[in-house]
Amino acid sequence: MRSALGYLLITRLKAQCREMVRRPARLIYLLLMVALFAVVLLGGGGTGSATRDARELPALAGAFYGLMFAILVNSGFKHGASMFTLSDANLLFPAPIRPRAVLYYGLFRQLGTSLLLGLFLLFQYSWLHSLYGVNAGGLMLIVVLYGASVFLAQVTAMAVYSLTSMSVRRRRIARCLVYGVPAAFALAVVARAALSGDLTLASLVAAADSPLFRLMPVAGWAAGVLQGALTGDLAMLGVYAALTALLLVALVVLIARYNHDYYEDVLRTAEISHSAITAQKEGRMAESAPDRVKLGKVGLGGGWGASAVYFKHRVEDRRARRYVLSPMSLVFAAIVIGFAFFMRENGALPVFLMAVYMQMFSEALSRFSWELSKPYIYLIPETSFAKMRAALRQSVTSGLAESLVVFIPAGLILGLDVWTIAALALARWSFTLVYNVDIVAEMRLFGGVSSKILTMLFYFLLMLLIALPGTAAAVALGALGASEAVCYATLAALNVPASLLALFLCRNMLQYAELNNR
Amino acid sequence: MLNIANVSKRYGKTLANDGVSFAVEGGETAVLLGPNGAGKSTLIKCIAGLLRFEGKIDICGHENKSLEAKRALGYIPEMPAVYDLLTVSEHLEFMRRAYRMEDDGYGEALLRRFEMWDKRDKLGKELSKGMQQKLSICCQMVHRPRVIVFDEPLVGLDPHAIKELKEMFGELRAQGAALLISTHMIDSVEDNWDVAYIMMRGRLAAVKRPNDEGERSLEELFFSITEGGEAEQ
Repeated sequence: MRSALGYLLITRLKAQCREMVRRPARLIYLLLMVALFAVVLLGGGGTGSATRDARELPALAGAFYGLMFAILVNSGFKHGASMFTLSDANLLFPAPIRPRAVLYYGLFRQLGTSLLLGLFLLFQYSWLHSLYGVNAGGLMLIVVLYGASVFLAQVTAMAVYSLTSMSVRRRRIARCLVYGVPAAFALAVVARAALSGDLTLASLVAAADSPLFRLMPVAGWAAGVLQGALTGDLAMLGVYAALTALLLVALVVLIARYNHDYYEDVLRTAEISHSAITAQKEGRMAESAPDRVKLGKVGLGGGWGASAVYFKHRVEDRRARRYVLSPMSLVFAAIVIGFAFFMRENGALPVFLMAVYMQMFSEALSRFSWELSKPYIYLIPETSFAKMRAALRQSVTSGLAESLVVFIPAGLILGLDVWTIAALALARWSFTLVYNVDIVAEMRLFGGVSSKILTMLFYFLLMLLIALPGTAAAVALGALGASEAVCYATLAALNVPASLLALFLCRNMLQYAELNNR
Repeated sequence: MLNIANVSKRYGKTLANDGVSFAVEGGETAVLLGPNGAGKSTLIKCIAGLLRFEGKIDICGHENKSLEAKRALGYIPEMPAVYDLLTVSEHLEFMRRAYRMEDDGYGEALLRRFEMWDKRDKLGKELSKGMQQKLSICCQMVHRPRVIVFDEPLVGLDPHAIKELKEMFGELRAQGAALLISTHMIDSVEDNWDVAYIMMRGRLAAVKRPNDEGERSLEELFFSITEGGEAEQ
């Protein structure tokens, strides 16, 4: 007879496959992704010979793996590992099954999830191929190494949590080690690069290309495996792969041997994940609020009719500590500024594209998006247009502040003149309008579509449509030799009316949208 | 006051509401009964203007998505909808301002009635689910709606709040408001209803009034329809 865990694994897998066939939108999405990957793979780009320093890729990949590892282990500090669902916790934990078997089941599932998470890297083939000459095998290795880092992070989080959850002192020591070791390695690399003369991406890569950096667990070892594979150094590949495997085995043995009662260590995360999934299914968005909110002055302080929505947003932003930038926007801004620092030899365009790309995520967390997930804005007896203008007001003003915070330092790092900096900030701000109006247009035109995947697809298509006039004009002016400032100013000058026109055309959105949390 | 005429709602291939028609007059309490998945919540959301639908819904003689209809409507959702970062009192202030109403003390009276006054400076995220439900009720009552639709209003409430809410149903009815209460728990409505609409698979399967001739109780009729496949109008 098949074991209960084996039965569960296979039945879940079968159900997922059936779901794919039953929901055509998912199947279409999957086929679209496969087709897109085929285009990326076949289109390739470049001749396949590296145009950049070959040492860059292992160093950058190692840093990326290390960052993901640190983020996941950090969340594990708070709540433990996330390899079990709440149904696992409710059905498997009380069942007469050995905890060790349940642990291996959880680890096996986590391994699959970790590898799936890495699939987005497949779409980076084009630039990896043209810049570093990565072939299909190299790309698969990058994906596998990403999956391994995420998997290792989950196992480490579980081990750290189960070994430290009962002691504040142990937790402090573990935290110091988890943050201190990578920070020490990172500082050593930066110091080595700085001592070599100029602090650039090239000098950082040169500094990271050393056995010292590759001693760093996970990030350095993964970089070593990749470098070994790319340069054909099988000894290097073998050593670092063995070190990684050894760490994994050691952690699993540690958990299995010394902590049979690990259920408590994973329960909290299972509950949190379940609440988040349920909230998402029911259309309730969790507010990104600090754990301890400082109440401050009580009362909205203004607003009558639709404008009450704006005054409410001001109070909410104050309590969420969103004064100029939200904590998340601050992280995004820091990433863009850091990106500008390392790409300062490549001009403003990559930085602008990065800023607009990151903005897509920060705008998804805007007050306007939150507001649409609650019923009140639909129920208030004011015109749809008035309510939308009030709900957008805070996002639009904070978007301008965000753009200035991003592009004043980034522009100075890039050595741009004041006009180009102003044009870049304006252009980035114009995308605040584009993204928010895109939400309105998507809900107005496709509000009845219940498939999240199709909704995302329509969102992207409409965004491209709204930004098309400005982008086309800016590209054309650039081709004609206009200055960067003129190109970005033109982009902003056309994005604003295009967005406002789309907003006006969809002014009755709240009359037609569906607050569909079925 | 609330007229629902031939309302149909489709989610993809699923027909959640299929040509539902009924009316609730002023001073009348209607209960909408049905098993899970009968289409009650979908109909309530259509009335509240949160979903697109085919057919016609009028509130106080106005199309349900008009401003006049919104002004007259109170909608208490099944899942309490509160703002995490607003205090209890700010929720009521927000509703009052959004509905352009001066503070006449009714908000405070509602909070006191539902034992929420001492929680007035608590944030939405700090409230338990039951308290959030009480706040959600207060928010939708503060503008004194004339047509009120409740979607499973008693779920999660403590005994005191259940008692107060049931008393409030009676008071609102006496004041001439039209009440539509959706539930799948027959016990919760007791005898505080004027007309019961039983839904099954998206359709109205039966209508019953307390003084209807015949010996079958509301509960017997409900089970004969939901388990026996019987339907009557």
